[in-house]
Amino acid sequence: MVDEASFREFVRARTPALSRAAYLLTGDHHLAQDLLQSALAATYQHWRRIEATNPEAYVRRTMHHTHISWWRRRRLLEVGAPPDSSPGGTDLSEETALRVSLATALRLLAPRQRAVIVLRYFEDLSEAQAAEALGCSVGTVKRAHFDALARLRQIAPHLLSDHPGVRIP
Amino acid sequence: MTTPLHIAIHATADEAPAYDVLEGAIVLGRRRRRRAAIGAAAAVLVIVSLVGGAAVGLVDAPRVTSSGGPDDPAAVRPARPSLPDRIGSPALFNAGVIGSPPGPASLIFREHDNIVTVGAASDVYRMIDSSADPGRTALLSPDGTQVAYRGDHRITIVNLGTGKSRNYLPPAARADLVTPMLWLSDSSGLVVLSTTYAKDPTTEGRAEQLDVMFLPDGGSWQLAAATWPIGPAGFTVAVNPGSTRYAYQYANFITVSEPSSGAKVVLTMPDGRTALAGKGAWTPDGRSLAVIHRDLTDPSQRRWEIRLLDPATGTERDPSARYSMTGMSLIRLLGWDARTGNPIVVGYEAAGAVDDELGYGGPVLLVDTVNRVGVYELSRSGAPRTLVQPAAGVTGIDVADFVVTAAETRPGHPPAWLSPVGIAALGLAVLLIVGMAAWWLRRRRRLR
Repeated sequence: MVDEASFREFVRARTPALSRAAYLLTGDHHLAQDLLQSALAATYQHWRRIEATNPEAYVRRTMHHTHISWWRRRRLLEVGAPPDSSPGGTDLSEETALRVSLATALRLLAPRQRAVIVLRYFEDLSEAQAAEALGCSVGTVKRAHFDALARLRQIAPHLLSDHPGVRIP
Repeated sequence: MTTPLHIAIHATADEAPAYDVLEGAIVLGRRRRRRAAIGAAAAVLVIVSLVGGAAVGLVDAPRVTSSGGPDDPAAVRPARPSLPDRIGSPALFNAGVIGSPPGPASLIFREHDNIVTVGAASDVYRMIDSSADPGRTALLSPDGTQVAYRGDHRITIVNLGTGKSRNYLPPAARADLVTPMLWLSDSSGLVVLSTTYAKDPTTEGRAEQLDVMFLPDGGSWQLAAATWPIGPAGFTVAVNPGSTRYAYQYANFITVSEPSSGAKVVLTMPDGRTALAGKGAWTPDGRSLAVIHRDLTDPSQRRWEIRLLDPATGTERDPSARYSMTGMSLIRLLGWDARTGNPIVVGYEAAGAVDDELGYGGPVLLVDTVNRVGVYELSRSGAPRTLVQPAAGVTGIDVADFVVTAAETRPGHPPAWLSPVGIAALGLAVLLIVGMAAWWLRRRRRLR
C-alpha cells in the first residue's frame, strides 16, 4: 500500500515550487495544472519505490517528459490543419522582438529547448544535470541550449542583452 | 551569474500560484495503478504467447528474394526497385532491422521516435530505434543497403543486409555532436559534420568541421573547417557523380571544391532565400549545381523554384528553364529521374513556416513543426507527379539514389496494424484465456 500521508505531505510542501516549473514549461495555467497533476499521479503510482530517493527530481523529470510527449501528440492532432499562410511564420522583426515577453518567447521554442532553458536558468542545473533530468546526452542538451539561445536572441534579444555574442557574417 | 534571462524567468515563474492538484493526482494515480495491473497481466499473456508463436515458427522472417543469405548484399538486391506510392505506420510488434534484416531499402521515414525502412521491391517494413530525422540526420545510402544516423557523440551505421551496426566517433576530437551529412555516390563513405560548442553557451561560438569518412575503417580527411554554422543538415553538402567535386554551404555562400586539384570557388547567393538544393544538387552530368529559391512574389502560394547554376561562376544557366512547386513549406532535392531528366524532391508541409532568419544560411525548417512529407517529381510543363503520398505523422523521409534515378512507383501496402507475430500472439493469447477459463470452470464444478 502507498503511504498516502507522506505523499500528501510531500505534495503540500513542494507544490508552490513545482507549480512554477510547470508554468514555465507550458506558459499556460490550465496546462500547467494538468501537467503537474499528471506528474504527481505518476509519482503516486511509484511512491513506495521513490519515496526514499528524490521524489522531487522524479516529479520534475516526469513533467519534462510528459510535456514533450503531449506536445508531440498535439502536433499529430494538428495534421490536416490549414497551412500557415505567412511564409515568414512568426514575425521576427526587431521592432516586435523587443516587445516579446518571456512567456511568449518560451512558447516559441521547441519543447526540449524550452525544457533546457527552464532547467538551466530557473533550476540552475549544470548541462550534465540537465541531461540527466531529460534523459538525454550532454551533447543534445548543448545543442538544444545553443539553438534556444539563438532563437531567443532573435525573438527577444533584450533577454540576452548582456551577451551579444558573435554575429554570423 | 545573473542575466536578464535569469531575472525574467524567475519573475515569470512567480506569476504561477500553487495549483491545487493533490486530490486529483491521487485519484488519477489510483486509476493508473489499476490500469497498470491489468496491463501487466495482459503483457504476461502476450509474452507467453509470443514465445509460443516463435516456437511454432510463425515469426515474421525477412523476405529475401534469392537463395543467398542476407550477408550477401548482391543476393538480396531486388529485381525491380521502386517507390511505394503509399507509406504508413508499421505494425504493432513490427520486426526490427537488427533482429530481422530486410535487405536493401527504397526509402526510410520517421514515425514517432523510430526510423522505418521500406524494402526496395516490396513493402517489407523494419524498425530502427532512433529519433534521428531521415533526410537530415539519418541518411539511406545510395544503394539502399545502409542507414547512417546521428547518435550521442557518434554516428551509427546499420547494414540492412546483415542487421549489424557499427559506431563511428567524430573525426574532430572533443566534438559535441557528429552528424552524417551525405553519402558518397558509391556508398563507400560519408561526409560528416563535427560540431564543437564553445564552453560558454551564451555566446554563439562553435567550431564546425566537414570530413569525408570512408567505410568500414572510418579513415577520414578534412574537407572544410569553420567557426560559423555549417547547415542545416540535409541541404548543406552535395557531391557530383564520381565523388570528385563537392559543394557545401554556409550562410549565403556555396563553396565548390575539387580536392584532387585543390581548386575552390566560392559562390555568393544573392539573398537569404536561396540555398543548395539538397543531396541531389549536382545534375547527373555534373555540369550544373541546383539551388532552391523561395519565391515571395505571392507569399501565400509557398512557391519554390529549382534553379540550375554554373558551378564555376554561380550564374544561372537558363532562367526560363526553372522548375517550381507551390504549397510546400520547404522542398529538398533528392536527385533526377534518369528517363525524363526531371528533379525528384521531398516536399515538407509544416505547421510553422520556413525560418531563414536565424543566420544558419539556407532555409531552416524547425523539425518539430513538420506535419507530413511526400515525394514528388517536378516538371517544367505540368503539375508535380506524386511519387509517395504524404502520410500523417511521417515527418522525415530519405530515398535511395538508385530508386530516385528509376523514379518508378508501385502500389504501396503499409502493414496491417498487427504484424504476423502479433496475430499469432493474439491467437495464442485467446486460446490461453479460453483454456484458463475452461480449467477454472471445471475445477469449480468439481469442488461443488
